[in-house]
Parts: sequence; C-alpha cells; structure tokens
Amino acid sequence: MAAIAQGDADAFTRLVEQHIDWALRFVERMLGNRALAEDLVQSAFLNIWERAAGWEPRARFSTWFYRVLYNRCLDQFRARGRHTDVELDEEIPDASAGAELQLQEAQTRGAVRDALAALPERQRAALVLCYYEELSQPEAAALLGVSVGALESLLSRARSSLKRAMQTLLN
Amino acid sequence: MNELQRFTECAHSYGSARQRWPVADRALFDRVATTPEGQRVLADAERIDQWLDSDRCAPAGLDLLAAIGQRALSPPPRRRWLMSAGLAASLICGFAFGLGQALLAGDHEDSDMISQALFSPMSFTGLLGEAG
Repeated sequence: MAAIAQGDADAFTRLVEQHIDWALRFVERMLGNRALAEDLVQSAFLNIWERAAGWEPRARFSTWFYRVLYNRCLDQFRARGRHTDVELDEEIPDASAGAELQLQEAQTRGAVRDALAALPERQRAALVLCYYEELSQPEAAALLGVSVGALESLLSRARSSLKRAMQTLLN
Repeated sequence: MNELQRFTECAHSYGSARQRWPVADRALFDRVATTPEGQRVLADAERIDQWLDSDRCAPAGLDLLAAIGQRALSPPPRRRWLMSAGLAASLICGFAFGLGQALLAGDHEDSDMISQALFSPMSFTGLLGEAG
C-alpha cells in the first residue's frame, strides 16, 4: 500500500490481480448480479488507488477490503430498496447426451441464487463469508459486527431457510 | 449440552466439512462423525453443501482488469479540469513574461503593435481598416 500511495502502478496492478477474484465472488453472491458486482469492485479498487495515502494498516488488507465491499453492498441494498437482482448466465444446453444433466445443473444453480437472494442480508453475508470464502468465525463475526454466537445463529437460520427454499424451488 | 446436540448445532451452522467448523469443535467432529447418528446429521448437512457448491462464480475477465488499469491511469475529471486550468495559467504566464521581456528590451514598435492587438478591442479592425 505504501508503494501504491507513491503512485506505483505496478504495485497497484499486483494488488488488483491478487484480490480481484475473491472480491468479485463475494460481491456477486451478495448482490446476485455479475454486472453490478463488477462495477462495485472496479469502483472500490479505484478508490484504493486514489486514496492509498490515507490508508492506515490496522488490519490485514483482505480483512479491511471485505469490510469496504460489504459496506458498499449494504449501500447498494439501501439504494435499491433491499431488492436483489438475480442474474445468471443463460447457457443454452446443446442436444448432446449431457444436455439434460446441464439443464438440471443450471436449474439447481438458478435455484441456489434465488434462495440466497431471498435470505436477509446479514444471513446471506454470514453464509457467503463462512461457507464460500471460508473465513474463520472470529473474522466473519468481526466483519459483520456480531458475536461468534450470533454468527452461528445467523448461519443456522440461513441454512435452514436455504434448505426450505431449495426444496420448494426444486419441487 | 451433550456431544450429539453440539455436533448437530455445528453441522446445521457450518455444514458437513470439518475445515469449516470452529477449531474448538473439530475434535468433537472427529469423535461423532463416524457414529450412525453423526453420519445421519452430516448427510443432511451435506445435501445443503452440495446445493451451495453448485453455485460457481467466474473469475475476473481480462476486460475488467484492463478497465481498472485504464481508469486508474487516466486522471479523474476533477484532476483533468485542474490540469487544464494549470496548463492555461502557465500558457498565459509564459506569454505575459515574453511580452514583458519584449517591452523591456525596447522593441517598442513591435511591442506596441502586440499590446494594441491584444488589449484594444478595436485595434484589430483598426489595423485591418488601415491595411484596406
């Protein structure tokens, strides 16, 4: 970050390359929309480039950046009235033997996105951080501003809701 | 709370994979996971894990990386405006300095014409009128 604050474009490129995939994954699952996620992540990285001089290393970069992204997701939810767009790549299955399987997989994937989108924001964030990103419980709890016990409760409710939603959507 | 209760709670919250469980509960996982009750609980959690695993996100495309690089290296609008203002100011200062030098050097005839052309609104038409 010190190099980036000095205007070192190579250091900035390395930082982006190192962190962009997880950042995009996290935001895409939070917002349920790839295009919005790309815009948000791009803007967050540019903000780092422009304000690197003011960054104070109180935590690991990734921990700090998760918080930045999470707060930006919350801003998006507020701006959109808590609505979550669910957008999936429309893959048209071919007529080969695996087409039916592909269709089933696409349906399941769509159902999972719908079920995730239907979760309350904090439950969704807890599930995305702990399951997909495999953050430790103390890290995820600190990021969400809750205790580890409350995080466990959020996760339990999220998985129960997801199970019910998936059973309904797949039937 | 007995072991199976805690095991069930953890499976409901963290799923069927040991590495996602809290460090403090992993020994419990090892003790209970192989029992018939433990296997039943884990099978239920594994079904939800499989659903979650079916959702995959593509990595960042080269176009996104290029867009970030391009926008980072081009100055933001405010900075562009400042750069334009700075450039204009330096051009004006340079021109004024040059004009001052010419006046001091005593090239009065040329300097008078330049001053007239620059600062008198009618001077240009006047000059044209004289030429005509």
